[in-house]
Amino acid sequence: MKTPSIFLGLVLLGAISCKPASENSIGSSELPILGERYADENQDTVYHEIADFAFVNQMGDTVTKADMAGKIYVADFFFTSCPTICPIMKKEMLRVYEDYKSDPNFKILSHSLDPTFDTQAVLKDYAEKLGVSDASTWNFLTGDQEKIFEIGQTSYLTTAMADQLEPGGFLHSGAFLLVDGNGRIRGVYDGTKSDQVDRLISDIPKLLEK
Amino acid sequence: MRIPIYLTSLLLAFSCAPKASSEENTLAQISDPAVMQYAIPGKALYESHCGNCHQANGEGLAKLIPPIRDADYFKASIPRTAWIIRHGQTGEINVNGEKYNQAMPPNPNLKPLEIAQITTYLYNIWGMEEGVISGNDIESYLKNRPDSY
Repeated sequence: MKTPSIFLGLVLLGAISCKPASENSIGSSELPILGERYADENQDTVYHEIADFAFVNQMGDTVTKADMAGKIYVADFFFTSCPTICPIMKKEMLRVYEDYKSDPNFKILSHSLDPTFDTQAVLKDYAEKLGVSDASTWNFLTGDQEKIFEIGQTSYLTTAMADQLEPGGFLHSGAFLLVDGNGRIRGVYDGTKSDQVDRLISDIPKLLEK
Repeated sequence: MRIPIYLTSLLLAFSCAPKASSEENTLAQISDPAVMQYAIPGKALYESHCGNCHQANGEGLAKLIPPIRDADYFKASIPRTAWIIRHGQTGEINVNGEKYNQAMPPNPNLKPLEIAQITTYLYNIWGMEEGVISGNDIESYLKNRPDSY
């Protein structure tokens, strides 16, 4: 009776053939440190790090780089009146939020590119309508527009600027940036693509568990 | 013992098939070829001009952006929908008992035929079957601001 063993073999093959290739090695789970790096006078590597910042969240509280020390966070750039990619980014970010909002070491920083219009009150209303009732995890940030553009371009290495030719008046990428407890960028994901956000969701625990 | 092999080949054939339900493939819900002719470009136009906010599945975004799918406000008036696509909308509206107040931008570059393709697509899926909404229909809808706007 050879057939039953062939049958079993085929069933087994069928069962494993759909497994994604990325899941099978634990060794590759280490996330890279992104951005420019250089060796200092002691030949120690100095990695690219998010610069100091101080912005105001939707509750009116100031959020600084020091507040983020030791926290894993995802950063993005948007504005509430954005007619293009922001809603889809927020839909995707909601998935990240739902998965990790109960972890006190996880945060989300969504920076407004239009802080003159996106005041604290506007951001609070926007967050509430999105279903985010407090700022314990997800901070919607406003502040000095030049500072927000600057940190977007130079710290988060993403596109964030005013551009009158763009719908809504701002040019920005849909990037989600994963930042570790030392202020280093550990991943860049397209926040408009659900498969990339799936990857972000599976990458977050690799930093949280450390 | 032929049957088990036959069965397992079937199993193999299906085990990796992508989900192709009519839930995701909205065009599969359309059977009228005339409607389909409008709906194919309509789906692409919807996804590039409207889908970022209203989402490809028509469900909108939380309490910020209203749904189109299964939405009383959307179903109530095709002329109003055409007007809103062209001219945008501001102010509070009520959709399925929920208040929404997020401005929708106008689409001055969409031609009447393109609005016809979008509306034909949207009014013939998700359980609706309004038939072809032509470019001429849209041109006449765009002549007068609807009362309910």
